[in-house]
Amino acid sequence: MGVNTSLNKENCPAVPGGLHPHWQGRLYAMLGLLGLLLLAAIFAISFGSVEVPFFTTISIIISKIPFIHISPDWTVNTQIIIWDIRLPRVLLAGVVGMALAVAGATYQGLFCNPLADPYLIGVAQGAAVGAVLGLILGIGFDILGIFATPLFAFVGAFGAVGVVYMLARVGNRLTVTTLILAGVALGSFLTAVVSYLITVSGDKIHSVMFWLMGSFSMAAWDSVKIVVPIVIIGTIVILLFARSLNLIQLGEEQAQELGVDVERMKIFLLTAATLITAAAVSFVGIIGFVGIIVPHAVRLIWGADYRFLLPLSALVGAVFMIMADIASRTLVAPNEIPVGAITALVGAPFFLYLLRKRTRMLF
Amino acid sequence: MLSDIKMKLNSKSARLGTAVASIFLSLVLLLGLAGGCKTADDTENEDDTPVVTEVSYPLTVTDQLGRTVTIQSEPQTIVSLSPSNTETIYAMGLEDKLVGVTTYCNYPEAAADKPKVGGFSTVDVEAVTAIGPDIILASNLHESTVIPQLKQLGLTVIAISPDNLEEVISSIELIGKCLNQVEKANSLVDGMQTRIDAVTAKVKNLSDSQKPRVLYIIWYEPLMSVGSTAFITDLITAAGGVSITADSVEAYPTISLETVLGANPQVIVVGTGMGSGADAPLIFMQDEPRLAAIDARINGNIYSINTDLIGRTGPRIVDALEQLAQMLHPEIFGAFSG
Repeated sequence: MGVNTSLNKENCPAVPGGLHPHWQGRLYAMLGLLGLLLLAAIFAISFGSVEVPFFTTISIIISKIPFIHISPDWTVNTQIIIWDIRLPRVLLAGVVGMALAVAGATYQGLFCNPLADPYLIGVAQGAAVGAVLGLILGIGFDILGIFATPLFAFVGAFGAVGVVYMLARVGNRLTVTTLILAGVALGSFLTAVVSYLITVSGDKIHSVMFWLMGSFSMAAWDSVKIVVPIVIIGTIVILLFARSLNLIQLGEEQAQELGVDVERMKIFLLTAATLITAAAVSFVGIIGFVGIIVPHAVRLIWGADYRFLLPLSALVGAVFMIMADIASRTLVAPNEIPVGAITALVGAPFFLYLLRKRTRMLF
Repeated sequence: MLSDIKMKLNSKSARLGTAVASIFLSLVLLLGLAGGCKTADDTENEDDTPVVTEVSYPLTVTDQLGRTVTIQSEPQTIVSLSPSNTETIYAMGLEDKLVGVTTYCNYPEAAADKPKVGGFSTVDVEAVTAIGPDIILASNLHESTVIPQLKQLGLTVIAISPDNLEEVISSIELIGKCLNQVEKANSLVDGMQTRIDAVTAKVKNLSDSQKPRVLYIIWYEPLMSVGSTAFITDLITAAGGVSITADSVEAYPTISLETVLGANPQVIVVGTGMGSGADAPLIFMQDEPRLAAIDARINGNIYSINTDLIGRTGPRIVDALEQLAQMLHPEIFGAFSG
């Protein structure tokens, strides 16, 4: 990569950091984070309001591996707790953390804007209107069961981004600034709609607030089976554009000259980032800060090369979310704190600390 | 239990009576002292009927939020700001004095025809002021916003906020006293107490192993139950059960499926209301595959109860108690028929 830092700053001053020369270090970091992810997952599966011995936990998981037979010395309910409640919850938390972090990094890169987060162009607000409407009206629960709210949220999310996209599209071109402005404006409008809906939500107000703050408490294999493939496909698409994201930091014209089909790239990246955000938000509600803090933290530590930034963000996002979820369900067990409150409480101060520590890299 | 409360109330009113009386007439002072004397030998008073049934105004009472309120004269017009207060007024036969209710007041059916002064938490203060009732029966929901507003407008507000069965009884007695309808309140309360005693007498000698582990479900997305300070927890205890979330410090804790599996409840009671989607929590508890192996599911002990019944701390709370008792102890009270 022949991109030089001063050019980078000149054309895309909003996104800090330059390219790190030592790519080896970042490969080791990825391996280390993979190990950390595994540790965090095992830790998360062994912790809960009900005490299950560590050996039993491991045995239950191993017994599920094909061709391995362990005669169970545990109860059906213990197996359900480990395999059907904690495991899908940990997987969902990891995948959602990954989705939000990758989407955040993508939007920041695409918009050349450090304030961009996965919710910038109306995904969360659209999802919120959909979900809250569904919750208040109580429609579809008979047929869709626990999928009713996610479906409403998903339709709302894509509806909102669709409107923003139409508004920002001029001829064949999509202007990033217009997109952000339209997204912010529509987002504010939809937030007002949600505020109104909350006042008429009556006895559903708790469900509404809980959804708005985000939680993994409803995680099940059914939701994992939907969210995981969407997030993985979306993330792969985004990773394929990592080099283009590096080039667009020079400015759209420069990237075009260097052979990037900028309009095509915008469509692909917007669709993929919106898709994975919408999938995450629909099933677990609005979890803030992860999408903005994780990519920046990764940038501050390992540099802004998107070929590393994206996978590192995915890993850090997954680890961070799994840890936040452990805190959310164990701090005041058997009650649960909304995980969005944890990510904000822990994430924001940690980010400010990094910001102070690495001031010189930013400005 | 009841006589305890009555004694507390009577001795309190006796003290207040003395204070008021010392400013006014010595005759009233004597009356107040007479009341005090009666409380002293209340234990001998077998039929449990308070002697003083006439209230003198101005009357100073302490409401259930601990506020001290003085009522200048016998109230002729009442506005109720909660469905349970409305039900209490009807049960005492005082509906002619009721001039304003909330949009949620749907019981008895005639209550729906009364003028509306807003929703439960969203009170239309202007509408209340326009009516200008002699007394307003509010709830703890109105503590921080509505009550100070109404008070500033010179209106008399009594907060009714019972936290358990005993306080439901004392709340009705308080309403009776404020309205100078002590006899009507007493006969309502006596009827309720008899039915409460009929339930508690049969469950009080049960051993711990005979008391089923109960999970009460308010909502399923997320799972919400009742904690230590919740009214329903007290009701479950009175009906001879043990709520698996009774230790929770929050009144309405959010719990995880894991907690449910860990506690393995023997009976699940789901609150269901009106409107679309109201049955969703019940359907979830009956169908969720991960709950299939808990005792309540295996034995088919999943019931629904009308939230208007169990959620309103008025006279019909006794109906809820009797229904709960049937759900928890069909061997004593007969099977619950819905």
